[in-house]
Amino acid sequence: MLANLFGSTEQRLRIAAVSGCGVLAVLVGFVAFSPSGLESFIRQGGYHYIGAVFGLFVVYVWRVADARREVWRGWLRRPGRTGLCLIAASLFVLWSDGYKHKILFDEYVLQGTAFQLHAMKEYGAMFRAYEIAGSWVPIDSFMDKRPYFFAFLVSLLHDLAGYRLANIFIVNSALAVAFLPLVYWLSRTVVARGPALLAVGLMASLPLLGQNATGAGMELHNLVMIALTAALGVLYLRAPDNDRAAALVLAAVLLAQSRYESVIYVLPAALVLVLGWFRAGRLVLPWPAIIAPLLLVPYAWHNRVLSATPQLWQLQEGQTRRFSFEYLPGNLTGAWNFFFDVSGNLANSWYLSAFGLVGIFWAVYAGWRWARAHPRAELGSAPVVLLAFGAGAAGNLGVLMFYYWSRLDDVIASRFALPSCLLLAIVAAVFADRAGGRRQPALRWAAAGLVVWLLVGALPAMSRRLYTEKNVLMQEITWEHSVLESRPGPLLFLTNKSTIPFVLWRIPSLINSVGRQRGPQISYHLGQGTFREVIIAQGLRPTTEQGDMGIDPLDFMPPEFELETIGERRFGNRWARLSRLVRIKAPPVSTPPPAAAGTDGDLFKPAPIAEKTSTGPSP
Amino acid sequence: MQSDSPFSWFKKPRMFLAGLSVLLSVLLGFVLIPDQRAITFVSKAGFWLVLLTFVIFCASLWVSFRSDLQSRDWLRFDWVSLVVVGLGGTVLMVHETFGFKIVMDEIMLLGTSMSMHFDKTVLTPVRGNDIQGAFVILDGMMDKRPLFFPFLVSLLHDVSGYRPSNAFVLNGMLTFVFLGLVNYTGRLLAGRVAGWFGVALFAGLPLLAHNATGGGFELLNLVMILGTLLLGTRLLQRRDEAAMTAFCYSALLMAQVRYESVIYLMPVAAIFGWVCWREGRLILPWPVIVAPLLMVHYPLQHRIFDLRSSAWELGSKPGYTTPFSPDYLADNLSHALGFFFGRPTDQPNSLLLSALGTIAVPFFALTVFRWLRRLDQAKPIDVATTFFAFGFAAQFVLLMCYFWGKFDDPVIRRLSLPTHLGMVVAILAVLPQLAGVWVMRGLLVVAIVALLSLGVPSMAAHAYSQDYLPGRETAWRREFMADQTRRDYLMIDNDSILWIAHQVSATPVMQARRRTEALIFHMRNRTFSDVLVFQRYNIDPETGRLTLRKDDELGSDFVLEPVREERLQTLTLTRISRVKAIRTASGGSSQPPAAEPVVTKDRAEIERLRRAYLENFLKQLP
Repeated sequence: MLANLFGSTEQRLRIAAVSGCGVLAVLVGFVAFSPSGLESFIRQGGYHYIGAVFGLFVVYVWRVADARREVWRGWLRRPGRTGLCLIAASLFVLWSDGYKHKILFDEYVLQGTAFQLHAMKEYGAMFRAYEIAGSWVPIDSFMDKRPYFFAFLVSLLHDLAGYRLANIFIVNSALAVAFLPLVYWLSRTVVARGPALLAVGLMASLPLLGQNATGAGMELHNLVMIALTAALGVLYLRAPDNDRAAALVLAAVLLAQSRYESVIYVLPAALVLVLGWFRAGRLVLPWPAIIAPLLLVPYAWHNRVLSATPQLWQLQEGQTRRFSFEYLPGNLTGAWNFFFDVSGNLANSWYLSAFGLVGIFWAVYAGWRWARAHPRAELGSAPVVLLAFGAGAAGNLGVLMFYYWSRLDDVIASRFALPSCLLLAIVAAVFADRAGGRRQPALRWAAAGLVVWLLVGALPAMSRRLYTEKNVLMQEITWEHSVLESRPGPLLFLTNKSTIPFVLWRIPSLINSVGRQRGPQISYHLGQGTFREVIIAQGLRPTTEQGDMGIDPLDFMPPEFELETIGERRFGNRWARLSRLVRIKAPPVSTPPPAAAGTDGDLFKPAPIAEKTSTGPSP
Repeated sequence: MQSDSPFSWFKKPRMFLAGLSVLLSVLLGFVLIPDQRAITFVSKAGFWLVLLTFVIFCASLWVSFRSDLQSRDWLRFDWVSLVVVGLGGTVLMVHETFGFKIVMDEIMLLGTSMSMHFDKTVLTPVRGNDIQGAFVILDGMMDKRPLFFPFLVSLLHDVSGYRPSNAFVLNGMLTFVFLGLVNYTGRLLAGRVAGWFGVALFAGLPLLAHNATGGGFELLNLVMILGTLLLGTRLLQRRDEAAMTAFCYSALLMAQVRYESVIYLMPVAAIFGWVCWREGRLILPWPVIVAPLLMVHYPLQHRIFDLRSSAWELGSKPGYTTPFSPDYLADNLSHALGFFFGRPTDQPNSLLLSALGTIAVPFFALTVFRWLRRLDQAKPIDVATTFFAFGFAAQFVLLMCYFWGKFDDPVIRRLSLPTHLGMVVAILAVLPQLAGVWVMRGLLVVAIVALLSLGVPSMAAHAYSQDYLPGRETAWRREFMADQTRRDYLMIDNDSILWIAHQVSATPVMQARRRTEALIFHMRNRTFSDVLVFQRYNIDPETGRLTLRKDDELGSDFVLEPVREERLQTLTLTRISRVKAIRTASGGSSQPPAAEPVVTKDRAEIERLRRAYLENFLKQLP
């Protein structure tokens, strides 16, 4: 067999080329450049790199699809009951939660990145921007830690349809509609139609899926890429050829750029590629596969920049490392709490978890029996691929258990469980297909269980959506935005959170700590009419058990900033205040300002504004 | 046909199981479960029992009608009748304003649908607040009203998200369904034109428009009564298990719409017995055997009337001691006449329907008598109508013996709707015997003229609803809610459930008076953007002096500032005021401290205080 694989000169050359690319990739990725120099490479070249890989991927996927034109045309022309079920399941997923931002500030950062990719064709997330001469001009941006394939897709939609914040929801909705057919197709490769639809039902009734399908995060995109890569793996292993191999490899490269930890799936993809050689009895190594190690270099660079920039880690108090054994017990507890929570407060499906877990036990038992059997039955293409990617999903979850912020019962981190849920759904479908007798098929009971779960667990949880609605920080930002929008403007907003959402709404914004130091500049622009007013956000904290709120010390403004409260509001256990800057008094030791800048020793005193109040009932 | 003696049926296993099911239901519903546990049981299991009943009902309809739907030639469908129904429904929808017309019935139903939607429990929320960023129901009480209507509204919430107006959406849909059923019934009884005539009679009834645009269960009650009658007709035609299941489950759900609709179980039982007797065998499919067990919650919920003496609302009518008595008959009958033949400005009646109905009822009685004598030769629709005629009559008599059964009372006139339905059925049943097709067409023209000349002006003016102040105040409060850009205010109002059902924090006046310290705590800490109070003043016609309604009195400690007020009636002033401050004898202040307290820089201490404050906050919630 090995003689067949490496027999010819061309084959040996190809192996040498891919090995050389691998060595070169290690050198370029980890040795040749210091992290400080890498940032500009990624920022300037990231867009073009991901664009080129995506373009290549589209070409090869099209070539694979074109060769199977009759197959998918038949599906489109005669979708039948399966098609109806998939459409209904997709609509259910999109219905199950409201379209809004769910994860702060990740989703806004992604949108900031998409804006920068769209407008500037560079990788970065803007955090400071102003309207200059009628144009919204980003002044400052930073290199984010997140892989940027999803942001790139959103930027493509911006390119095609014009920039608007809602584009990210359109992308996620489209991904949701693509995901469930992929789940069906993948499941269908190993089970009959009924169990495959069961897998779809299990995923569609998972509140976490609906939450992310209607959010602005990259989770659904990651999930689609995992499923798509696995599907391309099945296609490749069934009939290995250059086009399918190239599509698989490029999908794996793009998958690595979908979430930080999704680089793990490069290993199962590589394993499937090599297994394909043995199935084909020849080396299948097209040029995209040869250069694939080099295509992963930007990921390595990005990761090194992130490792060298602790500010991006978002560690909590007392934490010093991103990955550690000490996080394991808490994360395991969190994972158990998430998968088997029955309170309806989390976006989980205990039915999927329980059924999937039984399926995994059954699969282990079936694997043990298979290993002991003589002769062993040959595994088909699909089971091999699903085993490889299932191991990838398990590895994915395993890595997360050592991460500092991976308690899955934290509503912010629950989304990391999605790949595991996909694995559980497919395993459950396989179990439902194989278990039970002819008179009592497990599928019937599983379907009944799904209906019960839907009624008892999923629908009540989706009605309350506590896992989404309890995001009080999001509510606070929405309120601040509504107040800012109700004022005449133009205005400058000093925020105690992040400027990114506001600059995306085209509201000039600074964080309080910067605003505190920029009194003279703020005065100057108020005097020049750049801003008609300055609104400042501050947090309130209780000073006694009886309340008696005072301003959070982190949000204090200097004494020369004279403020007038325009609104206060409680958001769950947070209290927020918005104030209007009445004037900036001259600092005691400063030189007298020119007369034009203000009166009575003020640096600036804005003209009174007829306020549109948005709070309280009108008399 | 009659192959078996009825006594031999009891030897069959299915009959034995059915008897067991009935016995078990009776024991569970009336004997074994004590009062308090009964309420808990209904609260936890009520939704699921209705859901199961509804699912079996829908499945049985599908099984029974599947072949009809598949074989139907849609090109030959009677589209003209569909247009007639559409027009009739539109007339009923467009003239009245959508709103909660009967207070507190409709609000209680909405509240139950809210907890069914959010928690799948049967409770009317009485306390709700936004604690962690989402409005949550904190406490509730069991309502006395049957569960099918709030269940259907909760299904709409499930599908389209929670919004109080879903009750109107449901009633809007039911209006068209009801007119469709009326059309079909008329067609069966007296032909195509009679169906249109029935639709025209109902389309000209302002009382129906009033309820079609409300949030009550009257439309559903009509749909279920007529639907059950028609399913009874189908059972008499088909005499199979699918039709039997559909008929019995329709009856089960009908009994769970309005309290007194349980009366119609008598004709249902009669049709069941008649069909089995005629068939000479028991038609007893499994769903019908277990059906009594699915009704267990009904008598259990009825225990509220034992536990809560106020549930009969005898207190609202001084001088009455028992809810039902033949002594009320004469008085109620005169009020019924007052309603049926009152002026359209005073009563939402239809003079044409009342007149034709009054004429038709005696003839209908004779017809029923005639049908009864030859029941085995009568058409299925005639048999079903015969049995249901007794149901209509029994329900009318029951209401006439009810202490509050005055049809001309703004709150009670909706109870006359089943009687209206009975009258229309009577008219349609006697028409073929008294009149030819040209007379029927002439009557149709008269009905359309009456609709346009009497019904529509009455609906458009809806003067009959203007003297019902609670309804107008409810609409006024909903306008106020809609005008607010924020929902994080607290409303002090004796009808607090109205606000809670709209996801606004609210507490009754008495509770606000009792828990002044808690209100001070929340005002000091700006928990709510505003604390408001809803009050009604009566105006002295001589002096113009305002007198606060007794139950709305907050006390002199509360400093109020009027926010919005309106004279909804000549001698009342309805007002919403802002609580500016609360004075206490101990000198406590509801105002935030004048000098803003300084927060410690120690983050751990801030977190400790925050947690301590939150605990306190939860205890102080109104």
